[in-house]
Amino acid sequence: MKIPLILTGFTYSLYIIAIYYTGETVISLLVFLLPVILLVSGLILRKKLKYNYFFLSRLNFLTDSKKEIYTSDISSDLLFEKLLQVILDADFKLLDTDENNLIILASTAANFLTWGENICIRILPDGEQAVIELTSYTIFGSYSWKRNEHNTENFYNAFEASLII
Amino acid sequence: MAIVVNLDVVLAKRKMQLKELSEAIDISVVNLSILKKGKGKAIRFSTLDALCKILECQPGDLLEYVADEKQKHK
Repeated sequence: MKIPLILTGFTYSLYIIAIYYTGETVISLLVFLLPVILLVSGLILRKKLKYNYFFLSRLNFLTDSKKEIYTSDISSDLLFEKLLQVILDADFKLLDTDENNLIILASTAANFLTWGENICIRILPDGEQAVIELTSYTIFGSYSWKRNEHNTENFYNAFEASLII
Repeated sequence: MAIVVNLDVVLAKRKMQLKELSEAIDISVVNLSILKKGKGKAIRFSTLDALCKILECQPGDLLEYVADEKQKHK
């Protein structure tokens, strides 16, 4: 956990200030504990593919996602291995994979502005070609400030660059 | 694409496996498979140099130009 903790610390400071001025401890605690709980839950759940649906659900207004679809003339099985290699070589962190369904879950690094986004890569076989479905989503934040768009673009650019052998 | 990579042909002539070649030139099996199938976007001179050195061949043995019409008939 890196710099975004400063923002969490700031949230806690606001809680203390709210108690000081209102004298209400329970309400202040709920107001500032709720987003912290949601954030911590998100940071735990993000690591597994089986909880992917939580972040991508249309009912979840606390996250933002962006999907891009690309085609590749590389077969799906080879593409799966290749994309794993792209993740390891680029600035992404591999979280989880599902070899049977050709799904990869990776994340971007956390920095001052973000806890990092997840990228879900789904490979759909299409004869000798394959369709790559890239979905970037935030862990906690209903607006990604174009980070999701940048993540999908950066990932695909990294993949294209890796095809120069 | 009109450029055909005949890596599998050269490997068969040298009786070498892809994994063996991968270890020899430090390029992953995945990348060599992509190259072999002609799905790469480009090949670096350093890669071509390493392949020719290990396989003891010329670049022309690995790369072949096939006109698009001929490729369709193939």
